[in-house]
Amino acid sequence: MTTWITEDPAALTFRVNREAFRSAEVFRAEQERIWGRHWLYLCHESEVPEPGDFRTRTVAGRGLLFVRDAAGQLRVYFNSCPHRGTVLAREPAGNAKVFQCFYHAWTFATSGELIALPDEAAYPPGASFRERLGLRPVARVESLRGFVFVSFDPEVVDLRTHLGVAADYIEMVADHSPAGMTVLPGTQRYTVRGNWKLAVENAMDGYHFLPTHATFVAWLRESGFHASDEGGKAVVLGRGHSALVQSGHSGRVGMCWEPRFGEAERARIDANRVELFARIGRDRGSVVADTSRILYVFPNLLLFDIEAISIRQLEPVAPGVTDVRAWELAPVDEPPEARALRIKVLVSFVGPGGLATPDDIEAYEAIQRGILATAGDPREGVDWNDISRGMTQELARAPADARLGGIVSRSIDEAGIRSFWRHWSEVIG
Amino acid sequence: MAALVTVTRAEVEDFLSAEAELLDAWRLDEWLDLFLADGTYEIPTPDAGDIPPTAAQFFIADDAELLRARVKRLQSRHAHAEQPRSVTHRMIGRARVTAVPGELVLVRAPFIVHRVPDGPVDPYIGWYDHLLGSTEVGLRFRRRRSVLAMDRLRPGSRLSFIL
Repeated sequence: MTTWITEDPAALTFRVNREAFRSAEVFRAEQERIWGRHWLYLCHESEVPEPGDFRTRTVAGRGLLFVRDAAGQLRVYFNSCPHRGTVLAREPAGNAKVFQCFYHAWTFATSGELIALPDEAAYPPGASFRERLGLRPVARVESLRGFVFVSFDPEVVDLRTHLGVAADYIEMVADHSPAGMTVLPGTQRYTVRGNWKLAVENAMDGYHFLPTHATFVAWLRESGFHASDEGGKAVVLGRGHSALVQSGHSGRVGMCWEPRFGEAERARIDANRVELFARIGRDRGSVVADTSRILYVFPNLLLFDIEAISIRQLEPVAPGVTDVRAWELAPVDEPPEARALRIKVLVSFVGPGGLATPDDIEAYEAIQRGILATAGDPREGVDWNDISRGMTQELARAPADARLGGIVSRSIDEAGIRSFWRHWSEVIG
Repeated sequence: MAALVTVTRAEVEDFLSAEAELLDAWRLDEWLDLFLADGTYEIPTPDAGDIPPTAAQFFIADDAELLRARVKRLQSRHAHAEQPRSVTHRMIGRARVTAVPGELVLVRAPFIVHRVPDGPVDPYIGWYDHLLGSTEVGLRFRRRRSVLAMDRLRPGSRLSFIL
């Protein structure tokens, strides 16, 4: 049996077998044991605000159709006609009173019932036939503060149990505004030539920020802001989840000022903070307002509450190919000029055309290309990645930080990445 | 009503060809000179529709300041996504030119751009949707917009170069 990770606390070594990024066999095992049995992030409720609003989205390789039904309930179905399997909704988004399969014109209510089919007399009389052939819902759907998750495993633990302390980080994002949060129009959708786990490692890796994003950091410095890793923390949250918590990488629109935001935003931020502290208390309010948090929820959600808020969903396509979708989340009630600033600040940094993310993408694509070099080398340690940075501090067992909710070490160490791999290894074996 | 500017299709097509040469040669300082002082560079996300970049998340929505930052970054050896610089090749189709108020012309022209980073050849198909000002020194971008005719970027297809 292949060994995927080796950890030796005495020798302070932690290594990952590079085959984990390349192997089709690992990819299949992940599909079954990770993507088939965990909670997966699907969407934000604001993406389908009105009855009849629907979207289609592929998650874990399965085409899904989610819709707000006539009664206002969010429903998630497999996007496949129960009759003969045709893709039912072939548009990425829209508003529908009913879904009609084009092949044989079977027609379904948004609540899933088969309501009409041509020449019904050829089927058994009575209600049971139609009842049997309604739209197939996914096994489980649960949500937290607007973030909707699905699972294809009927026996999966409830969402709250899966999220554990990570739930609090999602709540901190939802806490930005008393009026609620909404996903903005415009999806950044791109595909990376790299394994999905490399995107996770990159997001939980504070060590890369200054060297990889040297040009972005230089630009911030010109605008009057000195980015720093000082005080940055990696927080291990259990079940593979982790977070990076920083205060020195940038300001935060609506929450924490920096020079490039301008004077009008400074005044708005002052007012927002008064409202926030009154609403959720100064202790929690200062964590929400002043810390940038990158949350990873195993296996497919990255929630960036940084300069602005970005929801990133990972969708593995093949061992070396990952589909990425990124949405911007914003308070529903902010004025147009603040909204424009929020979008500008986020888009300038993230996405395949930003001033920073392209270098991250290059990093994980360069790993996927780079590790072909050592494939199959039988010598000890050659075909392995080293993830041991900061193990001494981690093993010193710093007490859990009550405000941050987990075991804390430096953001520029690799504790978050190790926690991911430990959980991955537990699941994959 | 103010008179609309007169710019011929040939002038616009010459301008676009000359621009493509600058970009393929990575002569980015000269390229930046093709913008008016408040010129912008935009690549919308495919589902943003007609929503402006102040209200929808684009792939790129550079104002003049961000555009300068982008060019400066791309000239640094620390712009890892374009080190080594990718080879690009641009086919630009026939332009349609419409005069619009404000001494501007709206230019629409289809493109196929290929980017060749280290191995694979990545195609980008779409059309330009530019606003050009006619100045004493020639045409200049008020808005340089590349609209993708793709629902997503293909594997490896970053927008780390100028599309």
